[in-house]
Amino acid sequence: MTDVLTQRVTAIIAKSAKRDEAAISAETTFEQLGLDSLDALGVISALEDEFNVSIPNEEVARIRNVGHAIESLGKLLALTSGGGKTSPER
Amino acid sequence: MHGRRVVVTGMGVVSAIGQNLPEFWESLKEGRSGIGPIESVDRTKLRFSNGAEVRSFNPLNYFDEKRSEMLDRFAQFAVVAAREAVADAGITWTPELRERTCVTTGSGIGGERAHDEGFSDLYRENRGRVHPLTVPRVMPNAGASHISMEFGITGPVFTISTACSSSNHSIGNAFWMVRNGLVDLALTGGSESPFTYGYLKSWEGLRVISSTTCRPFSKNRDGMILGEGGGMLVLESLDAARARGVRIYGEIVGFGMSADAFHLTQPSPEGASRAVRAALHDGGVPPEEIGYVNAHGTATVTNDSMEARVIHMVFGEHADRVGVSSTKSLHGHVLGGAGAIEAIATVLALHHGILPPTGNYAEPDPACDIDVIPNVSRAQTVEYALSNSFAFGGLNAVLAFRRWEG
Repeated sequence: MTDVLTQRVTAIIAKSAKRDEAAISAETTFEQLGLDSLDALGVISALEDEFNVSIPNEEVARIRNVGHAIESLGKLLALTSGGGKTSPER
Repeated sequence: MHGRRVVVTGMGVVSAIGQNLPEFWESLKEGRSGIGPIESVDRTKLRFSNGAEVRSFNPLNYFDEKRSEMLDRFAQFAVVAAREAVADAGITWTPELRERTCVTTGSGIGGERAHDEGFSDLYRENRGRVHPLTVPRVMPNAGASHISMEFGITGPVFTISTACSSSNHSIGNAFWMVRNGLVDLALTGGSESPFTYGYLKSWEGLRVISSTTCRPFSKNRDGMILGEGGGMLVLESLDAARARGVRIYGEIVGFGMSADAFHLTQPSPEGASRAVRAALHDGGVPPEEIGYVNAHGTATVTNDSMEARVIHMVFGEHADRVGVSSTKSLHGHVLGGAGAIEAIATVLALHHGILPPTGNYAEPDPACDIDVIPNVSRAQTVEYALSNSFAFGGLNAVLAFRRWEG
């Protein structure tokens, strides 16, 4: 499950940043990928669409690299699969 | 300084903290906030809950049914504020005056509600048509046009749309037209009505809206609170005001503009400082004469620390003696109408010798090392004041005002 999550997140970030997936690791920062704050919003939005979740503002503020993104999504998906409701509704 | 001296002789306002000038001023003085749970949109569908709406505003109190159909809410605010300002200034219209009067308004998004309702019908309800008046309701100049028609004003009439700086750009240009003699009277300000589901969702995506309240300059600030409303000011030459024997609220002395040429949403202290200095230069005002600044103060993490830097950059050692408050903490961020509402707050502050507070201030932030007039208004006679607007797209517009004596 973790491998699939990592793969999906990496694919989306790679597509947004127009970079090769192979060049991206958990430590790769958005800055290193040439993504500024506005680009990052686009990436977050694409991740929300892909996983059908809503990432809260406080969480978004902490996401600086690919690994953070994977962690945040992992937490949110664990909540939803555990029966908790992510809010707000889409 | 060059050209005629220009004074403020009337004001009108509709806001979350008062639907007329006296109510608005009372709320500012008391530090009373109009921020609360959003009522006009289903807030359970939003990541944030609060806004500064103009509650219980019934257009039929101001317009007959036919007229109210023609006006989106943002234009209703503009017209109602204009009516109050004109009455406040005690203007007697003549055909000559109507030709020598300008109307300028600011609006970022125009008739957003009409837009949203019309397109919702089309896309969601599959109606084959939208309301036939959708175009004139949506156009951002609707406020200015309706004001012009209401009073028969046939001089220069236009609307400026520069996001959060719209009203300051609008007022500044009206000021210059009176100063250089192109017109004798100006009815100027702006309005905004942003509370639709689609538009609020758009702001949600930018992640700059607070999930609690608006705490400008506070260490625990977490973003803006959107507001709605409108403000209009009457400007005329000092000579004309004296000849009429009308009460003068204050003098508008300077207008400065700049662009950051930096980032679409992040502000630049260099860009903002240039606009502040330009306003001071335009008014021939030495920086150390400024006693109060009505800040842009949106309570985003970025703006407020940037603005505090600007205060230090422009005022240097004098920065400690400048009171800086963000009244957005009380009436919300009215976007294209913000500058108008805040200009009115600034003029009233000078007129009454009471500086409105920065509301909801909880915790000092070392990055905002300025005198924010926390939570309680301050009795202080100040000679000159500024009102800042720093908009998305890096567009900055600053107004300078002077206290009127006598």
